[in-house]
Amino acid sequence: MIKAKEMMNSKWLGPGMLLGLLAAMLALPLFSNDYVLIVLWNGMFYALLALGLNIIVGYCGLCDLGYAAKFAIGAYTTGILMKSFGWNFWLTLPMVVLVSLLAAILVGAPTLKLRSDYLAIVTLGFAEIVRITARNLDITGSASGLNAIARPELFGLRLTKSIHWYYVFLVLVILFVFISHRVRSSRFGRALAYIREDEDAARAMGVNTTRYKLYAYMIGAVLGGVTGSFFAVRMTAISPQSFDFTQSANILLAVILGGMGKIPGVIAGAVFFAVFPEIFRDVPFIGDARMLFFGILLVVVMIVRPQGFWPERKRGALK
Amino acid sequence: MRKMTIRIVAALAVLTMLFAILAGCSGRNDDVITIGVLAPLSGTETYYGKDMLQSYQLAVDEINKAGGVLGKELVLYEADDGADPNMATQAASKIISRGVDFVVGGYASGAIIPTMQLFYDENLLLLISCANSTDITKQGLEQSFMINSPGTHAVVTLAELCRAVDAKKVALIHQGDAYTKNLSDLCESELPRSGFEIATVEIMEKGAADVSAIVTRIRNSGADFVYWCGYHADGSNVIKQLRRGGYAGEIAVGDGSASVELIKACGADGEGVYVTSPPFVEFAEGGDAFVDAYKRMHGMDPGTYATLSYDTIYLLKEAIERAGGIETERVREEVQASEYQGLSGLISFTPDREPAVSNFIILQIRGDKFRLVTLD
Amino acid sequence: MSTWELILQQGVNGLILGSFYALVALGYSMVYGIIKLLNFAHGDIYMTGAFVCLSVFGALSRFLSGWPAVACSIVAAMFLAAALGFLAQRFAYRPLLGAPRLSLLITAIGVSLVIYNTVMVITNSQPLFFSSGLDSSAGIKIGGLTVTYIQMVLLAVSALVMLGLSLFIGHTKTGRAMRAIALDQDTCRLMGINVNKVIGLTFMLGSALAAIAGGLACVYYGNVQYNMGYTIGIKAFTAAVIGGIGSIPGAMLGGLLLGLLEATGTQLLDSSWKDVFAFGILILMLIVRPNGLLGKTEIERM
Repeated sequence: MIKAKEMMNSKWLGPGMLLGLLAAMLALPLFSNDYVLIVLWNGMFYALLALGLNIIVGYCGLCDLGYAAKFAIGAYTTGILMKSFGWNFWLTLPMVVLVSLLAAILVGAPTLKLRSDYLAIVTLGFAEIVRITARNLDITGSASGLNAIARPELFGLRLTKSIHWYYVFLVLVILFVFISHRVRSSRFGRALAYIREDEDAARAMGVNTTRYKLYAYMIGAVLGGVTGSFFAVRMTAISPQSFDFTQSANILLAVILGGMGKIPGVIAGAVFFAVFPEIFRDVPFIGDARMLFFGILLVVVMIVRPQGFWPERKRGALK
Repeated sequence: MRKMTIRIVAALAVLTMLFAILAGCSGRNDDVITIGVLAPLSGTETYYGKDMLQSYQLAVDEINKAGGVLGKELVLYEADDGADPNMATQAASKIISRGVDFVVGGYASGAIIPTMQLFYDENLLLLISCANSTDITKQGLEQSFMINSPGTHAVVTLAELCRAVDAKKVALIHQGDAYTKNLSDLCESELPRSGFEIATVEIMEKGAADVSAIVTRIRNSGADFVYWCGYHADGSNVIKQLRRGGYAGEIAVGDGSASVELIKACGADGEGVYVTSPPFVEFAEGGDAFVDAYKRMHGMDPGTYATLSYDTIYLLKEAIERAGGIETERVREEVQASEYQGLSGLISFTPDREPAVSNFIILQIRGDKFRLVTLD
Repeated sequence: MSTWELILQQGVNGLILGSFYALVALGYSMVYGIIKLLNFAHGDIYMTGAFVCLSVFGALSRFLSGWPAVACSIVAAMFLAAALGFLAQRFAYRPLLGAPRLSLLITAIGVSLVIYNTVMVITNSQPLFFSSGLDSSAGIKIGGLTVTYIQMVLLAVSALVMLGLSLFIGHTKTGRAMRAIALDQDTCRLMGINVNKVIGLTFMLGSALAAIAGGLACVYYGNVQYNMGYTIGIKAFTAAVIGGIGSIPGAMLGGLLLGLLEATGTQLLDSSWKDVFAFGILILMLIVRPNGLLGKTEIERM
């Protein structure tokens, strides 16, 4: 018993598990089909969005109900630049970063000092404004959205197959995890945690809370935007329907279900969220009611583990 | 705490792997011809999706009973697109992974469009039975055919109707999604060429109950003809509120609302409403035998898109037979060359892979029934 | 239509829409005021109310018809919704009262999913249609202005309900307890107030109000769908924030104002920009007046 416990607490367990998982992910395409790859791709796609939102919600404690807008901005920026101006996909990425930053400042600067529930409604409202604008304008392809977006090339290889995108998104997940980890363990990350735990105290200690909140919001927006532009070229078609409130709620659910703030928890939440409905889709009766069971599960998980599946451990806290 | 965490993660990983292995099992069987079906089998459009699937099943059963195609049995493999773009891409990949030979289906244009590239990448022939936004063929993917008449045909029929009822100013209402907006846009650009003025274009969000502000705007615009481009679920509400709000002019609805449900839902307010409709089986030649067979098999009446879905399978069957095999390129050429006389009328294709002949008909609500309207 | 008729007609349209928003927003605001929960399931309670009203009306049709039947159906919907609200509170929210607020929010989304999908499975995703047998186009016509009798009843009922609620909150012991708990739960407990009971009562009251709105919508629009609670849920939430969330008169004012804003937006801009107009004004207002129109300024402590 003691030995098992020691093993569990061994400092090698974490990295060991991580490496094992990575190896499994790398090897998976060798013995699975397209459907599995696409479902897992979907899981990774949600993981990217969840990691981005995690910086806003998990690290900083801001309630964002409109994350779909950030990801829509990235997708449409790439789509418009490629379709209307003939840009190469990879060149659109810096532009996506820029536009995402601008949008984040535009929305964040005046509103981040609001109460957190008001922030929730502002982000929700902004997301609706983005979606409706995309639906109404011609340059965004109005209701049908942008279709036939070209597939990008990477080192001379045109990315068309599911397996290509599986690996591209795997690399992106690793990159996002790295960024999240760096943010978390930096001085800036600790300031965010302080703001989340007690904003007044943080302000009293001389942390410029509004500015730090804005930075967190900007980082989250950029990660969402970049995910969006990869989404656009992977799907080759984007439409306002993909960016509605349900999408924002899904991403938020993934973050909170997994355990806010903790990177593996957030990823597990996202993968669970994407894979769970697929597993039950074909089971008779349950197939139709799968979201009903998901709802019940959500309530039960929250009651049993209110901090999510895999919450962040609070260092030195008594709880 | 930590132990529990590891247990949860392990369970998750096992679950995922199990899924990977189970879903990975899909043997290709060369003795049958597998047709993938992409239709909304859950969500708001379930009724249409099930109707499509049931019509496909009927056609497949009949063909198999008569000896199959080139001696092979037809097998359907359905996947639920939920009329939603994200679900549709997953459903499409599921169909692709199954190793199907052909794909039919497609109800909501917004859901089918993002899947077309996926099927194209796999060199799969796609016959779209219902979805009819002109954006579908604009993608220029030569393996995708539209069986249902596109919005451009609906506008021609609508213009004839407008002329017949002597309308002058037309108000359009759509629902802000790919199909309804496309239909509304086509009307907005084409009707003025036939001499009708567009009074106003309005939008009603799906499921938004209140349209009184729109009704007032339409009345104020002086429109004498309202064309509802949306779906039947909200259509009855719009018609009732138009009448209640004092609008007295003509009302017509598009193919998205062409359902007997509409009559029931509108009650007395529905009297006299026109429908630019896909070929309803009631009014099709030889439709009675089809209705009987459908009822016997599924225990319910066929729906709006039953004829088109049924014809899709037969059209494919004939193309395969002419091609003498299931090789995509050969069958594609034969589909392109089709002159298939089905329940819904003659189906042949333009070089853009749209139907060459319009299949739209005009119906009018009279009492509790649709009546076929013939214009001279 | 003359300009004045147009303005008046859009005003009537806006008021009707606004009273639906206000009735739903009240429940949002009451629950938020007392336990700081954004009750995402509230729109689904509204939807459930509409379905119950429709079913009861159908069951009653052999004995009753017209307004008495409508009234009975709506009362039945209120009781059932109150029970549903109480159950959700008792089994989903109460165990989480000490947990982080975001967990509570997620639980609410979970409850919303459960109600929404249950109704979806039961109704097979198909809309149901309601016909009260009342003459829906009878009413008063002044020039181009049309106001139907059903619309008048609807406005009167909402006004009465709101008046009754204000009196209840302001002048009864339970109402005072609700206000007190909103200010300081722990002190209330020390003072001998049965906090859990009052919270349960708040949920029941809020849900009953949503059910009134749902029942009225069923009668007025005649169209009941499993997804009907979604849009109104978001709009009512917006209305509650405009008025100052937690404030009862604020929710009423916010609801009516949002309804009028939407009617104005539709008329002035275009129906496709209507929601942009409403949300744009919401954001601007929050920047200028962060606590809503009637909300109190308070320092937030997480």
